[in-house]
Amino acid sequence: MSITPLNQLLHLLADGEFHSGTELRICLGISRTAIWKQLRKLDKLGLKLHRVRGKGYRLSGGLDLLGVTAIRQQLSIAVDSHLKALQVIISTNSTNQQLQQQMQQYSVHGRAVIAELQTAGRGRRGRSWQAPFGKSISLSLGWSFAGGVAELEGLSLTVGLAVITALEQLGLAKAELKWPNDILVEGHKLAGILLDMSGDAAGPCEVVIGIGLNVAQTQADDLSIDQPWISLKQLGLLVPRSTVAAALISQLIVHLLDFQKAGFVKFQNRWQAYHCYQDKLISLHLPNRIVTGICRGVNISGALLLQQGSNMYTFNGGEVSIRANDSGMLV
Amino acid sequence: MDIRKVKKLIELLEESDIHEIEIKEGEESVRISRASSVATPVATPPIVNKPQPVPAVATTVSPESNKSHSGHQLLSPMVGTFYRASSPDATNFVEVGQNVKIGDVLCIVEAMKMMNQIESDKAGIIEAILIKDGDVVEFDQPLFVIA
Repeated sequence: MSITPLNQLLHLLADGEFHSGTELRICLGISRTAIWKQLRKLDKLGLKLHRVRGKGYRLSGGLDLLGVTAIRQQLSIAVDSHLKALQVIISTNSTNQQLQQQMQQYSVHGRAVIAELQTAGRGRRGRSWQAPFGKSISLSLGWSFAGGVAELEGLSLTVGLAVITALEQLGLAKAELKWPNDILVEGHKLAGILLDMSGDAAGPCEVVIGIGLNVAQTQADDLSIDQPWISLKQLGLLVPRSTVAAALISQLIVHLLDFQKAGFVKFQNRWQAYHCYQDKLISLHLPNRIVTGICRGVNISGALLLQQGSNMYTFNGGEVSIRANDSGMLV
Repeated sequence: MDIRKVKKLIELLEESDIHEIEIKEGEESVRISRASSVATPVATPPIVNKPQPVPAVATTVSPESNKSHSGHQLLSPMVGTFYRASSPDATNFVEVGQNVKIGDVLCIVEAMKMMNQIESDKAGIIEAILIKDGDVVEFDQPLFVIA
């Protein structure tokens, strides 16, 4: 994070204690008016500043801020050598968009962006991904591929597996995958993934991998999210966000390197082991119809396998949901 | 379709050396061709407006003939869902009649939550958009005609 007055202010108030106006002024080396201006910026970030006459200012509960050094220190030398740049930004519309903009000027291979606040995080087809300041991980990593889209089959699912592995590393063993790459815990969404590919579909292309992970949100944050969700905190896992970010980056890079060597076929069995709908009766919602069948996992391209009677069908798109009537009967 | 628009299209065709032009607006489409000596608007059924059967197995649905278009066809490099804009509330990447350069993003084909920006492989004018927003496309299915 670059050293700006806002940045310094956030780090001072991160301890959740009271800091007097005079103290803030001295630490930041700016005028009283300039301090007020910075304090107003906290409102815009959605932070609730507690003001008490005679005591000063505090952010109740403090902040768990991300740190470039804190993240880098937790990476292995091998992983660190593949991470060309790591940028922590206070607020952005979307970390994927940040990298896509950088792509106009240079390759974003091995470059990561993490934001304290993402104001317009995207899910599939414009669905928003809500997260208050400092409580989630909004991470994007760029990666280059030489062989175009043919080489990218199953990448989306591999990223899901990388997130699952990172969560295990952090001590969460019960996360599952929902095709193609949602991360669920007992049916509640913990993390989402969206990839953006640009470049030559038949040749060199760059992929921006975006991950949104709920870390410290609680019901008190009153988020308008249209599906059941859960955070690490709610699961009893209290880990600094920088540690979560380091685990995600590490596993992403490890999985990407393996994926480039061997493709999805190497991950297929492991993916299915975490698949929440494996061998269950599911419905797949397609743009123009709904198909039902027993889910038999995925093929080596990452496409969903659905069994109807003695026939097996593959699907590349659609929304999966579990059939309420899980009797094994085909509808 | 507005008859004045059709007239304008005929004029456009006559002024240029375009051999044939096809415009699609929602359910309606009109194709004007120089093939006969008299350029007459011919109402044709929309080319790919019917719901695409989603092939269960990896069968290739061959698109209905687009041979009427003289221009270059941009083919889908993958199986996926075709989107004309980056998000439902964003403006379309391109419209019929628009000039495009090589490398311009024309659409997104989504496959398993990977949004693939499909770039133009030819400079020219978008003559036709062959797929409806949200429809499923097959590998090598023509998406655009660029003249």
